[in-house]
Amino acid sequence: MKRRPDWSSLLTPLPGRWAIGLGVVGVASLLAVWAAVTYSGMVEPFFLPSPTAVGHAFYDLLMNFGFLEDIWASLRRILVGFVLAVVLAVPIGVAMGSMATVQSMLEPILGAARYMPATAFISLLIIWMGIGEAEKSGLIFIGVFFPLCLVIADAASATPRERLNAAYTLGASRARAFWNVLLPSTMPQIIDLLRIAAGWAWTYVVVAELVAADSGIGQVIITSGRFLRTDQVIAAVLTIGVLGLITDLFFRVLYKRLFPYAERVTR
Amino acid sequence: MSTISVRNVSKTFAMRSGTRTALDSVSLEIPSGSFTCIVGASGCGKSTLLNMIGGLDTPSAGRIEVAGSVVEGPGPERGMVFQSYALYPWLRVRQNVEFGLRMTKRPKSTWKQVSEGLLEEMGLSDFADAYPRELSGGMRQRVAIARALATDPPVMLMDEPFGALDALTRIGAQRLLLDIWQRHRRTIVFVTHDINEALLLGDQLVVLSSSPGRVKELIPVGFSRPRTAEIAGTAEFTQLRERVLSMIFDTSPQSARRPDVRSASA
Ligand SMILES: Nc1ncnc2c1ncn2[C@@H]1O[C@H](COP(=O)(O)OP(=O)(O)OP(=O)(O)O)[C@@H](O)[C@H]1O
Ligand SMILES: [Mg+2]
Repeated sequence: MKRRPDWSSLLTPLPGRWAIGLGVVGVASLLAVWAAVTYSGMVEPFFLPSPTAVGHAFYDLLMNFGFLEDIWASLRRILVGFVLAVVLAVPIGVAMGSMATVQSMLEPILGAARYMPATAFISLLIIWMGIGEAEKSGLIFIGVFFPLCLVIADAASATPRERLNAAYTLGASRARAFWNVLLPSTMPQIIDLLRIAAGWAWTYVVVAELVAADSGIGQVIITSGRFLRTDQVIAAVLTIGVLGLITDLFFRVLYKRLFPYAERVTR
Repeated sequence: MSTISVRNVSKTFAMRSGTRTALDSVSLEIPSGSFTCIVGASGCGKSTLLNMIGGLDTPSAGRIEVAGSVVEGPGPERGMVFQSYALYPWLRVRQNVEFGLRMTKRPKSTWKQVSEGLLEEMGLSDFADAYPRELSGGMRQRVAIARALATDPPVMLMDEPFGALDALTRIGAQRLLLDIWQRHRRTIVFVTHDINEALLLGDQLVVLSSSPGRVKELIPVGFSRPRTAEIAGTAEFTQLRERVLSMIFDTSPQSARRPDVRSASA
């Protein structure tokens, strides 16, 4: 007899097949509701086109509107802005979290910058860099860099004190305690935070492209909106969702590969 | 050669509401090669004292010397075992044990021999390649002890190392510790809540009183070695235990005769 998992048990992972199965059930239910309200004529196609209409729109975008190039444009902007933000935020955040001197020096700047919405920088970015690629990646950088510094600093400063103390009593110098204990101790959380920060990057790329762009998924959304092409808008939004999911999956796989000793990722 | 002397050590912590004296002029001589247990009520300053000997905290007054030199910070000549194990989850058991060898730059060719020897002694040979989270609490504790022993420190400081173990595992761990101590003599300072444990393991017992922590008494424990848990059944043991207990809770006959001298002034 096959053992069935316990449906309601708390904090217990489901077996892989069941987890995927339930995911499919969730998506299928949503599709079913969508199909029901659209095919039955309950909702007008102008407000919510049917799944098939959106599928057609997606195909149309790909074949006749060069949607692949738009996707690539958005991806490129994210890659530049996000990678730059990560490359700077990881060392700065870790230094802030582990050394009180760095913390005291940077906290007021970063703390204030965090409260300034990245979108408020758009005008400045346009003045400084025009409306080219640099401005778009710049917005992503600003949107990701400041909050990422702070959450990484928090993660580093949460290193269990006893892990460090144990290292010192085992003869570690300060530098070795940093490289051999503090950093590996914080690394899993850093990767997990990057996964969350990638979500912010997706938000800001669309914002940047909504404002002023001649390519990109965000630009497709705003243009389709102007022409009242609800089907294309939905197709483009769903594309972002799927690409976001893939990014998420990438970081989850990376996490599992890098930290085989760790508990599974949460959230 | 690795005598520990604690001279008039006090420790005060700054609190929101003024200062709190955790330890008040504590003086102690711990002979080289002896097994000393520190007992006292919760919050009386046992961990504070041990951390200062380990160099993880500094005295507010007085000084601590180990093997003739003043303690100024942590170092590999004073191994420490923490109650929370403090193992490194990203390292396998073997690498955890070898951590101190790596940090003290011992020749790499010697690492394996040391770690394998210790894991064998701890009965963990089969788990050399496991990660700490795959081990039980008692096994983790043994890895922590092996890790501290790897660099062969003349002094071992242990803060309630068996506190989180169940009664049975604990007996095994105590036996193992005594065994190791008998084989590689070193100075051990062992903090515990458990008076039975202290009497079973120690050559001497330091009884701390609370608020502020002071040395109430230093009791030599004379039971012959090797000891086994059976000594807990003897009348001598029970008597000593009662004495220590009454000291900790201050219910000795003398203080009972003059009741409330302390609390009246408090
Ligand atoms: N960092 C600190 N700041 C303020 N007070 C502290 C600090 N560390 C310890 N204390 C105080 O010092 C006293 C002694 O603490 P300590 O941890 O040494 O007790 P303990 O004897 O080890 O207790 P337990 O048996 O519960 O572990 C306590 O009253 C505690 O409140
Ligand atoms: Mg304690």
